[in-house]
Amino acid sequence: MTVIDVRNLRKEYGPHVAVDDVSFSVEHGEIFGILGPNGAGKTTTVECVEGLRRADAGTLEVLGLDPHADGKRLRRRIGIQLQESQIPERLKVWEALDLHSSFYDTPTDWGRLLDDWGLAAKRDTPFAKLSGGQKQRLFIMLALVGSPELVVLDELTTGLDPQARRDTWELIERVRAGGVTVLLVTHFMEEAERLCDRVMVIDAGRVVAVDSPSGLISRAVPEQRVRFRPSAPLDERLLTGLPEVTRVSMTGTRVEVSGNGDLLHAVTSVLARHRIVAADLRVDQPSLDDAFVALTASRPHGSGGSPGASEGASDHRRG
Amino acid sequence: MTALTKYELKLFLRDPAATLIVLVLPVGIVALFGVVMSPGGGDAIETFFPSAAIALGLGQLGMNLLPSTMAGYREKGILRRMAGTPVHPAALLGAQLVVGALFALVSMALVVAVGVVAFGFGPPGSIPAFLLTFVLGVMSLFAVGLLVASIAPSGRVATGIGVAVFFVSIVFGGVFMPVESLPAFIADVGDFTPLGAFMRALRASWAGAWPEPLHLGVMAVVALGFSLLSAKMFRWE
Repeated sequence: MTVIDVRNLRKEYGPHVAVDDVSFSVEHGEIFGILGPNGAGKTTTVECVEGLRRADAGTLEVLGLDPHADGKRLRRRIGIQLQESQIPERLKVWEALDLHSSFYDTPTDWGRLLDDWGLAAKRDTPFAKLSGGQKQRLFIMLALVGSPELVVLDELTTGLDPQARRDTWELIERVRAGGVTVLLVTHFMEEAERLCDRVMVIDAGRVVAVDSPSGLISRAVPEQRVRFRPSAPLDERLLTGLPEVTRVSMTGTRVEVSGNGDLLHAVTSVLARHRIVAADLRVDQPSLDDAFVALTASRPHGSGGSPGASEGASDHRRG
Repeated sequence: MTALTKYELKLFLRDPAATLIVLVLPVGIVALFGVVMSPGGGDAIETFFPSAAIALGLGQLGMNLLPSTMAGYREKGILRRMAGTPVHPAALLGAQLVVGALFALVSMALVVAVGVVAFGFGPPGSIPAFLLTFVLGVMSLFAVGLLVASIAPSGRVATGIGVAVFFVSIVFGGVFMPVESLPAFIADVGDFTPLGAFMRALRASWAGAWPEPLHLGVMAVVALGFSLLSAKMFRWE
């Protein structure tokens, strides 16, 4: 079942094109990530999905509804965490939950939400006295209090320390385990790699790639690297002869082998056959970080030749 | 909607400055002048003190507290967050106006009760005129606040504009000093300000007369005009 279907979305603010041409769809039960550099159009895209902004062109369907025309009906069925939106400082945790549950026809029992999310001890604490992590936890709870079918989380972990960020990831996985589809906007690669089933990379208002995190990595950065110090002099041709190897470089006693496929196994097998021990063996696995840089870095200069890039780079100014 | 009003009421009560300005200060003023003046002689100036106490409290509430809170709510993204729920953020502003009106009513009632019962000020002579004046006054002062909230980009700027508007208003409006002792030019300008019209209409109804149509008209026009203007200009984020 398709929860979000966006086709050829376009949104301009005056002369500035925030979203040029974005299409994607999200299936039920997915954690779908939107990644992109600052000003790429991530937030504008989700705000159109939520019905908070009206698209200039394109068609959107969320839970079978038109987000703009049926905004109110849609917002009864989705939970939204917006970037930089707070609640009054003196409002207590339980009061915020009670208030937000009054906005929905079939709210969840917020008392259980408090227990489940480990904030029961902070029940009577005013919002201003919560730590950053506790505030984020409360925001997720507020997004969940209306028993939504879809939650949209925009830059949820920005400004959190690494531990609080990891804790938040576990919570998001629990949300999905409860059958809720999650649309996640982030600029943390590690977060997308860890959480998302599929990731859409957008840059300058256009889709660069949509794939699973591992799919993105192998498409954008197919090359792996293996580095080691051989215990005995090594003939370069032993390695260059392997089908997995694309390049070998030797600096002093260090050898660096680049290639793809099961590179590590191929290299170590050859070394073993020649009774050479690889000391200080290191494997550089490309991460989503590398993939992201490869996918987006060349675009602003107009070359647009990144692997997996959609046809033709368009140079739109960043906001 | 009712839950929103309930929590806005709680938040208002948790703000010590708000209770101080809207409730404690007006009652304090009427008590202070009750002690100093020992009223009861029926002098025209006796309508000044309780009227000024009410006008000060309501002026601060409408021109300063309300716009600061509203602009602050926008600045902190509280209105934006509301926009992501099934309830429109206008309901939040509506709840604030309801809570503000409730406190205006309590403030007015306390000033009248304390002034009359404890300090011997005469009660308002014309109750219908007094109530009409109160309703129009609250609406016009809140409309000024809404407009300030529409213009100000942040809570701090709203406070700044609100305080400035308030002080100019009390001088021109005959709240700081009785209109009798103001230069004619200042008094004439004050006739056309919402707080000045409110103050004069309060004193007239307190003396038992019907307020001048000019003053009722100024309040009505400001209430309607400024509300429409802010409805057009208000930004939710």
